[in-house]
Amino acid sequence: MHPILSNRARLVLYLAAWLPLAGLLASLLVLQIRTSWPQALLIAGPLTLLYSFICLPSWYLCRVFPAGVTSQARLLAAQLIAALFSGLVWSACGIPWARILAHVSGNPDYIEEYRAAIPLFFAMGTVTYVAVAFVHYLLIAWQERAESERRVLELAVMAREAELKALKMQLAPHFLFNSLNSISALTASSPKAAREMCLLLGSFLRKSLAFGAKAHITLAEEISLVSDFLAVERVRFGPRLVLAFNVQEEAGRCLLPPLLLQPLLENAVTHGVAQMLEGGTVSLEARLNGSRVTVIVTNPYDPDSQPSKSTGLGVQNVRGRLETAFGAEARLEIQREGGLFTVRMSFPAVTDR
Amino acid sequence: MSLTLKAVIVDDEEPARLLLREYLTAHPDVEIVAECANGFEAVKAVGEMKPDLMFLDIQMPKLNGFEVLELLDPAPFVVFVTAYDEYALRAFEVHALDYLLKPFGQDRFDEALTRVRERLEKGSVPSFAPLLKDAAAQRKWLDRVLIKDGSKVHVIPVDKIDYVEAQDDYVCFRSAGKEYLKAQSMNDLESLLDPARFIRIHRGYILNVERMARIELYAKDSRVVILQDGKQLPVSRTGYQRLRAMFGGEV
Repeated sequence: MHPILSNRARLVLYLAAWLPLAGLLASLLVLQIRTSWPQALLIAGPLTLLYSFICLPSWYLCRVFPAGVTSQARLLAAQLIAALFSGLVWSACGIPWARILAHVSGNPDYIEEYRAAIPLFFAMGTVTYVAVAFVHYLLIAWQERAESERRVLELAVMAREAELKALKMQLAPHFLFNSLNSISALTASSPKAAREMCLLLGSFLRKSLAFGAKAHITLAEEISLVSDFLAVERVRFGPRLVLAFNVQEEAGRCLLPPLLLQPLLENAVTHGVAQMLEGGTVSLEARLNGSRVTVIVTNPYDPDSQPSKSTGLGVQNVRGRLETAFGAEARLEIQREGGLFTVRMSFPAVTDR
Repeated sequence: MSLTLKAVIVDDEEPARLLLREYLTAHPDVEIVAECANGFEAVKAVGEMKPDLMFLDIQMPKLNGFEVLELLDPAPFVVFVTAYDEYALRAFEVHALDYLLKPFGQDRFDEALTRVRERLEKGSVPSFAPLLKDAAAQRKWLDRVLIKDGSKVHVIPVDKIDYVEAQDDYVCFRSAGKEYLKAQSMNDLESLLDPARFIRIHRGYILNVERMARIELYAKDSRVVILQDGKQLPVSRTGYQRLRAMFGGEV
């Protein structure tokens, strides 16, 4: 959509900008060709109006040859040819207009006077065209900036929302209340274990808050957080929950958005192992594959029960945050096979410095 | 003088069972006859021990608290125990059932027990039927069938059912060559099964349409369904209309 034609205020402003040009042309006609003022205005006024519209399509040419992308020589050549051509068309349009004026007024002077002014119109037309093209380039630049600002804002809002959702899920009330109940149970029978669990829970909550406030953390930090989380869950589920960690040290230095793995491991416990009578193993594997980090979370699940809706939501949320952080470079697949639920994610390896 | 109560504790988390046991030490008139780590054990224990009272966790593997109740007839007096489950809490309130929210202290536990005694003495034991009905309505169509076989419980996902046959006051589920009897009416069962997957082809039969191989004309105006394993089932006139409505003219 043309930015000037599509907006009435801009169109009025644009046309107003042409008034001085009409005045300038008329005065040049009076001074150079010795036309009378009324005649000069009759020639220059309507022709200027016509030219203001002839110049509008230059916006499309500016779009085809964007500044900064096209080579300067090509851009200049294209715009110059267009300018000369417009000037030519415009000055040619003046001839029938002068004829009409002569015919209507019965004064044949118009034709002679305009002929003498053709070089002037051609020159002015060419220069004006260049000016209009310049204005169009400015408009395009302004539009692009507004658009990219909007996009940045949108992305920021999306990321923020995902973050909030993650934090909400983070503090899953079920987990907290059950953990508190376990602590309450252990205080009488084994105070040491109760204290241990308080410390783990405290450490987990503290890390959640501290990491949650950052844009990104290292994989090692995230893993220390999920370790605390799983240690708390171990107290609740006892031998039913078995953990298998296999984390490559190099992978631990890579950065990722905070609290990205925690929801996956929470799912693995809540919707996986906790649904198995005999429990099972939650495994976490992280390694560096060339320039990418791969993280795999696996847990057994009960094939007889329906896939939980909240598992789907949790994974969706993780996927969204991964994509916000890494764009098209983010990968996340889930697989249900042979009683094992697997989430496999990979993203570019980025380290601090 | 209050009578001694036999109680069963059901929770899949050991610390949670430990806590109930500890709180119960203050009540020597309550005897813990069983501690169960899952729903299957709970069904078995209730069948064998006939307890007066059960502390029942809602979130458990395979069989949740509601499903355990569904399998118990008669059920003992139940005090539900849960950490956080908005749906369950609303249901307990609506049906005036006793529950404990984790974490809970000795005071709250004692209160609940006092209420249980009052209700037991008055003989006003609440019925769980409305609660279970709500829970069933909540999940729309049945996704698995629970069958109690003595002290054993079978869980059959509905997609593993081949067909269901009426047998007097029972329904008989056929799944992978095995038969399971359950006291239920065909009409009740039919209303619980997803009509896009299960069709009442006859007064005495509900068919999992995925198991159907073809329909054959058996005699003039009477048809049979041939299952993928070769088994034949009778089709009534209305049953045939239902099948046609689902598959169009193809059958």
